[in-house]
Amino acid sequence: MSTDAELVGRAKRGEAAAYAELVRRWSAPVLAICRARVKTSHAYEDLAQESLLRGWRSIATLEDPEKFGAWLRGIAQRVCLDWLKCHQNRQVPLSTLGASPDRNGALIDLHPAPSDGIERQSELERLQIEIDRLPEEEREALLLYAYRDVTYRELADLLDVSIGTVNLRLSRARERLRKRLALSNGTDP
Amino acid sequence: MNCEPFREHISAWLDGELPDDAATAMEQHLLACPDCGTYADDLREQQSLLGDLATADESRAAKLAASVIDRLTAVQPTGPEWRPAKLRRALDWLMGLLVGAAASWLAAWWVWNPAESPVPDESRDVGAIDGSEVEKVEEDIAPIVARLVNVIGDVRVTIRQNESIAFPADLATFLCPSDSTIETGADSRCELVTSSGCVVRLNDATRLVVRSPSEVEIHEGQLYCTAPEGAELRVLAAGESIPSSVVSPGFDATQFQCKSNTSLWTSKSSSGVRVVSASGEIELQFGAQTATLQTGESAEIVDGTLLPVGRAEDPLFSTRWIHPLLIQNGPADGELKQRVDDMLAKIGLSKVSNLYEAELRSLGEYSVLPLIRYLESPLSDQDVHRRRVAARIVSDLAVTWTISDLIQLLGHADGEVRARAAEALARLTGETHERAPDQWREESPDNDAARELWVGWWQRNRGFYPSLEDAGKSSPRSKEF
Repeated sequence: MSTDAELVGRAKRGEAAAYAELVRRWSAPVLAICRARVKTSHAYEDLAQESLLRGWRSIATLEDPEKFGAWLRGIAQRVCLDWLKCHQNRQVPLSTLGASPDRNGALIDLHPAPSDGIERQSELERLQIEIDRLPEEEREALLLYAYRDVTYRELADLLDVSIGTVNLRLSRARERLRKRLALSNGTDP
Repeated sequence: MNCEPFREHISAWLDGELPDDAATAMEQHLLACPDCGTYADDLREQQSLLGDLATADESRAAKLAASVIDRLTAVQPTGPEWRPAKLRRALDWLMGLLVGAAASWLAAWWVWNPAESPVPDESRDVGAIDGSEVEKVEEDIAPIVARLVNVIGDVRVTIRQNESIAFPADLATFLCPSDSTIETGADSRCELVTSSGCVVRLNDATRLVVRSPSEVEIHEGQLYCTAPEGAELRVLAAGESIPSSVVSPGFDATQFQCKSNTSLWTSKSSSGVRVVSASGEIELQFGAQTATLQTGESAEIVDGTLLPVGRAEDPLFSTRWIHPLLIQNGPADGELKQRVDDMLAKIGLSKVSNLYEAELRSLGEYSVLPLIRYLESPLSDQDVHRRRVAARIVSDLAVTWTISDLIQLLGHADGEVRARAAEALARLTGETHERAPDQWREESPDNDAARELWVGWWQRNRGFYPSLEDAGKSSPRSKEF
């Protein structure tokens, strides 16, 4: 299997198939990055698409092919930042987002669940709400780790931080989620 | 049972990221501790839920990939040639919609910024661009003369008129062409390194123009400049009118010359300009008048008059505004260590000793490593008062990545230093190894035995504590040009 750097080299020579393979590898992490930035808005899918297309358009400017992931993350962050600036006055306040299954922007498929899945579905909704309440850096680390099969080292390279920082962000995110989910369950955290 | 060191690492253990010895210790602890076992179960359940969440998005990711791949052939990559950042971003957006559009369309967009853009690019804020991209943004406009290596707060660089770029605190680096104007906002700082290796630090509310690698021009605010071995830096004071009495052909400026291995700090306001030699010999030129300042001397130009050279107030204290910039380079930074040593040397000598202790404390954890190095050095033998101040600050401010250094200090000849190190260790680890901090003041063979226990404990548990590198504090930003 070609490495990202090899695919980048071919994509820089105009080979769309090579970039297509990069898109397959990176669509989930880019979704996670955009979701971490704009939270439950449906726009995150459009923003992820825009990010991946921008990556293709500007692939020639990527100097270090080994850092494709970090470079693409920078593009996605900028796309989301621009979008947020444009839409910050139209954001739905968190306080108005309840656990109602029809609330705007839900990410989980809310098709009628089988009876034994209703409770699980409810837990997922609560988890989703609490993830959105996490600090952005923790939310991004948590989602990237969940969405992509990576080691702490790979995640550290992607986020341009140390392994210790990745550990810290993940453990803090999980601890916050644990406490908040326990509170919402009415149990002692 | 002290669960804290384990709790912090249960998450990493579940992810299979702990070293083998630490993982074994964790497993033994979980067997013995029901609370931590429950905690681990909670995190496992949470991971399972997160897995479901990711699975729910897998189909979205697949659809997204298919949609993007469908569009790849319709969207051509731009060429590798360089374009200014704003133009390139504008083109990025337009290329998706208007491949081959006329230049007039581009100009129209530039001027009017159509509101229907799904992801408009009107922002000039490059804060979210990754460092590698920023580095090449402006390099072809004019010769690159300096590099912005540290930014704290609001900093704005104007490359030419109306081409202004605002910086967030976490930007890695930026290359400044000649004649760049750099402005700092309230409570902001920044640091430049010129291509000749000179370091220029700006305090808040400062405006500076970088003319060349060896010449900068201050318009207002405060600078701290250092010229390394073999380099020189000229600092011009903009707008300082030279009276006809001292102006002569070729001498029509107010400037300070920072020669090889010297440092100066200067402040400029509407009422005048002041310069202090922080180290070495600084030459001042005011029209045809010149003066030479030795370390600690200052000169002032007020209302068009050069006042006699005098002693400055303590430059160390007056330039403490550079400390937030120094700590960006990590606690192992040589200049930071020198400043801590210099401040420590003032303690006990001055009526304002308490101010230096307060300043050392204001550095927080960043003062700890330099203070430990001081305690380990023969210098600390010379003054018991300073040594104990240093030990007290270390005890109060030490953080987990200094644990191994603190264990070393348990072997110090001064019982007070040993006791303070033991205090810090007890605070950080919850352990005393049956020797309370106060007992370390005594000279006793029990100290050696307890120290051995600490060394063994550290060998078993070091995996639970972040190292300096893990704490993200050991990689100073490169100042190489």
